[in-house]
Amino acid sequence: MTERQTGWLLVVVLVGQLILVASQVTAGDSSKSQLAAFGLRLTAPIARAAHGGIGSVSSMRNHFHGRRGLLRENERLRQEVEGLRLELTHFYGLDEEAERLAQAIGFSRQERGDLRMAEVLYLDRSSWLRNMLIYAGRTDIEINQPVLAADGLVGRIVLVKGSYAHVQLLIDAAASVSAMVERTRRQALVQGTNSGGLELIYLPLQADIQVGDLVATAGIDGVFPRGIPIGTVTSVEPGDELFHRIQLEPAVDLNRLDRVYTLDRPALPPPLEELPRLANP
Amino acid sequence: MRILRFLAALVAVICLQLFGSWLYPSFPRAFDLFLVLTVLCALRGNSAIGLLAGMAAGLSADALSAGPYGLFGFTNTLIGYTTARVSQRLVIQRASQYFLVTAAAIVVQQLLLTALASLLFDHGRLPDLAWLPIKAITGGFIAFLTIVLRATLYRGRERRRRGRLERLRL
Repeated sequence: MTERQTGWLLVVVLVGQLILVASQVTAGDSSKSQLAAFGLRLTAPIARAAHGGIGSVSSMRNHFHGRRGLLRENERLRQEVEGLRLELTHFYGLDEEAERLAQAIGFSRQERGDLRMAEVLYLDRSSWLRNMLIYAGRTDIEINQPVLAADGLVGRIVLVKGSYAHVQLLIDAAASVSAMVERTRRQALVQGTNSGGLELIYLPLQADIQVGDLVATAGIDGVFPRGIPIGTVTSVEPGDELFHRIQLEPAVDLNRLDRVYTLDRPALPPPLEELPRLANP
Repeated sequence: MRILRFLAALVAVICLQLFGSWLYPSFPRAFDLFLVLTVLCALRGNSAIGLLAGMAAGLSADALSAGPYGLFGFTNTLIGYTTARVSQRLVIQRASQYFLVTAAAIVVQQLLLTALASLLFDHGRLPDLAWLPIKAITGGFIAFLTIVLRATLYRGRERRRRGRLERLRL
């Protein structure tokens, strides 16, 4: 190939990629291109194989760690299970009672939905384009499905190809979720920051908020159901003339994440899902 | 054969990127192995190979990142082509020169990404330029190590070949 031909090839390739990038930016995150899905299909199996290798190395290391460590871990887990069982006894009967009361006042409770486990193949929580790659096995996964960990909300699925998916992390600067302060039920918006933290925005200055308050999903954005822990308030400062400036510590420790759960349920309650169809028959 | 070698190197880079981020959370901020691979391929002096290697490595990096697909593809294609053109005009043979060229390529790539991101994104998502010197040094160092290792392997192979020839003459 001559230098002239290479020059033309460069122009074509660069313009093509620029159009590809621009089309995704204008169409929003939820409509990634077929080429992106193809790229995911090519790289994700390599990532899975590498993850398998990492898992083997990790299990070998654990094996050599010795029996003493395992016994200590076992003892700690046993104590934790006992503690959780004790805690559970407080909740016996509460669920049925809540159901009865809800029926009595005609309140329809949110459906919980199914949680399905997925493996974390790759997690980049530090760079400017934070990302998580997961493998869901035979489970069906969809765009916009919430992704959770045992401690709370992780993010949502933004690209799916087969059993592999890209997850937009909650700490991403482009991510946001409707939230409420658990103590006061006051609603606001949680947004990721460029530094990898979380911010509670649009909470008016007159609203009551304290360091240590728990923040959970409000369930009004049509993506995340209500009540999933997001984080804890770590600092409250007076922001501009209208709103507080509030920093949150994420509920989920991304440093220790090796498996997550996809929530298989409609984010909107059934009566609300019917609305658009009723409006546009 | 060359394509197969490049693909094997690309797979190795993906695996190293995954292993690195598992081992050390800030790995993606401090290392860009995809760009190092692009520069090493481009420094062979063929601009078409530099362009295609940059595109393949960049699109692979895109598949592991959350940005719009093609962002790293665009920058790495440009870097691959430019590096190949530069190496046609300059004699780059020493490992220290590889270090400098790779570090410079990383700086240019990050500046390009910053320019593109500030044009395209409205969320304030920008590359972390505080990590730029570290990224440039680590990238340059990996290129340096690769060249030193390659030269050592080449010398060893050459010595063995000469030894065999000597024995045949005797």
